[in-house]
Amino acid sequence: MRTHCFFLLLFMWTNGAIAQVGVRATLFHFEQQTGRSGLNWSIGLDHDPSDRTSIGVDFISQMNLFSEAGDRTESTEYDGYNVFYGVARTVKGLQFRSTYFISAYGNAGFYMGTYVGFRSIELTVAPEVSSSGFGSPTPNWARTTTTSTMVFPVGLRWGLRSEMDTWYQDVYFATGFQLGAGNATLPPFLLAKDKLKGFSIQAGYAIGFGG
Amino acid sequence: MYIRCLVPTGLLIILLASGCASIIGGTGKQSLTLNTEPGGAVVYLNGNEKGSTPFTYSYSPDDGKEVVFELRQPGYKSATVTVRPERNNAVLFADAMLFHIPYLVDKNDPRMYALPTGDITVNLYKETPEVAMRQMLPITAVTTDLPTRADLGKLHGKPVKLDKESPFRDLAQPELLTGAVSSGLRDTWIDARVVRMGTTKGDEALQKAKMYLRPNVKSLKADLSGERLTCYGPVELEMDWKVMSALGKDSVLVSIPQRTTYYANGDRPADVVNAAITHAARLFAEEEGLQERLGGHYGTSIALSKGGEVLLAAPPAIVFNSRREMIPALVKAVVTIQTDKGHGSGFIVSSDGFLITNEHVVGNESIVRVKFEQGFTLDAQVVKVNKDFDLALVKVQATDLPALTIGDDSILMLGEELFAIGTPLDATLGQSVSRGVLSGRRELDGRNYLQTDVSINPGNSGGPFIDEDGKVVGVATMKISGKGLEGLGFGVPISVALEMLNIRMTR
Repeated sequence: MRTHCFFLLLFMWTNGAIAQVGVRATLFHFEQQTGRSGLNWSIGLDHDPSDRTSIGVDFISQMNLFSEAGDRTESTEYDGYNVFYGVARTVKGLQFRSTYFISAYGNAGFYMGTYVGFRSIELTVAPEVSSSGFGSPTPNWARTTTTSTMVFPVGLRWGLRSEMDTWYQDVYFATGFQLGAGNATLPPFLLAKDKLKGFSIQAGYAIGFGG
Repeated sequence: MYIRCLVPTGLLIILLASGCASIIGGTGKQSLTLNTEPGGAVVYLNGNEKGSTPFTYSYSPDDGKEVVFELRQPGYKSATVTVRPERNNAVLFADAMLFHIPYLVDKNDPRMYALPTGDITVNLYKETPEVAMRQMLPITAVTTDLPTRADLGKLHGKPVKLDKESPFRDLAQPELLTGAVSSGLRDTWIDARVVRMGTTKGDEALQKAKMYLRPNVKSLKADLSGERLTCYGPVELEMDWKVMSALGKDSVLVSIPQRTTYYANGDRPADVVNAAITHAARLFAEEEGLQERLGGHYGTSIALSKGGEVLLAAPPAIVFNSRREMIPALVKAVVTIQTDKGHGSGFIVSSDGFLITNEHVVGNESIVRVKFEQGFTLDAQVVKVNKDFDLALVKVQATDLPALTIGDDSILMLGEELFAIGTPLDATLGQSVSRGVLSGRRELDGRNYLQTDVSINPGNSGGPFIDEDGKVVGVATMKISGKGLEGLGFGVPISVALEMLNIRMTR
């Protein structure tokens, strides 16, 4: 909640006289919260406090709103068991963007910036186990578990944005850290690609309307 | 683990600190000096009086994102100057990289903002006095004595030469500068229009104005600094303003050499030359005694276009016994004037064959055919024309012609009945009579006209307007026509016609 308030206040404080404001929707926001690629969408606000800088805040959610663990498509061995499992990911988060335009005019063109935010990530892991030993009991770790965790992505963004005059577009790429990713307690059998990543990348395409 | 946390935290602190102006201080100019030419103008900032020029100003973020100065000086038009302080790019970059936190810290710190220049000089222009009539002065071209690759001073520390790649390239095509001269003369007593000689409209304008303006740029020296797209500083311009006679080719009526200094205040470099010439044009209009000199030349030209005096014996009045007989008697003094290009109307003003008509009826002809009401046709000589007032005096070799009595147009009352007699549309419709009233007295382009709703049509031109007493009071000259327009005819008052043809009636 405090994070929400911080972004909102920041947005309001910088809402100076020359500013332009736009509303954007990110149609494809690729973000690696885990080792797998993850498609997300977002909606947000853009605001240009000066003719070289811009700030924005986005609400981000996973693309599949009703994510379920589904098929157990992954298999691994753990503790003498063959483990088959599926993972469902739900993500909700906010991200604050701060941008500096490299080209001189009109808050448009190539930019470089930073981002910081948080993600509330819920990973539901549904495993099935089998063992070669007859009558082995199902281990405790082999139950469907849901892990909720909070990570704080922070990093650098690069992109190309058009002028915030009526409608505009933004194509971006970002790379940075997910602080707190190592603190999540996940099922021990998970493959590396299903664990939260400390280093992540983002890329996406957004369109917006402003003036 | 600690080291992993300490390094990014340390970097963040260093970056935050470097982004805060309150720690590193400002990097640009935080104050400027505002001057005016002439000095001593009162400076208003956001509507509040702050002092007088030269005025030193230090920026405060409370003054807003744009600082608008208004400069007032008695007898001069007030001027405004807008200054946009900016955070420098390095600081903006630090702001952006640090999530705008330094921006929030330093938002109200004036040291974060740099002013675009340290010195601004603003030219103030004199108030334009109310004038009854503006002097028409067409501009045909701007010329220049500057050779190719001429030295035009410095821009952003680099020398500027005259060529087509230069930011001052407009000087290489001086014909593009006529608009700048016209802009400078706007809202002054000079009615300056850009015209092209040799075109119908251009020649008409020259004919009306009797003179034209041909400015010549002799030299230009700039010393401009600023950003890539804006510049500040003086531009010294040497010009020669030549007013040429439209009557005699290459005849210079007035030549005024002029040296001016224009101060660029955030202009685009490509606009500086135009702005300097606009400024010089404005000062040209403020030249002491120029209005009187040009007025004198204009008066002389008008007098010249009247030609020599013509003495005409006042004709015996056409006799009619009643109002009913008046018009049938008067039509005998109205004629159809024919040329190869068409026909118009005219009326006899002396028994020995002098007729008045419009200049546009006779055109450039020296001999025209005159068809009388009685049916016969005579050749006539065009004695003189006055293009300014669209009048012509024509003479047929005949005697004892019925002639119209000259009336007094000054005593005509609004709504008083007027008749027009002429040959509208086709020569077979000669001596057609129409009737209306005097709708008003108008001044168009500095010329007086009688306005009437009498029905006049092409071919009526040059015919008489006749009052209720049967005397000629005007010469039908033009009508305003168009969809939905009716009854807007205009004629030259007979007194003006006689004066502009320099005709004196004798008893």
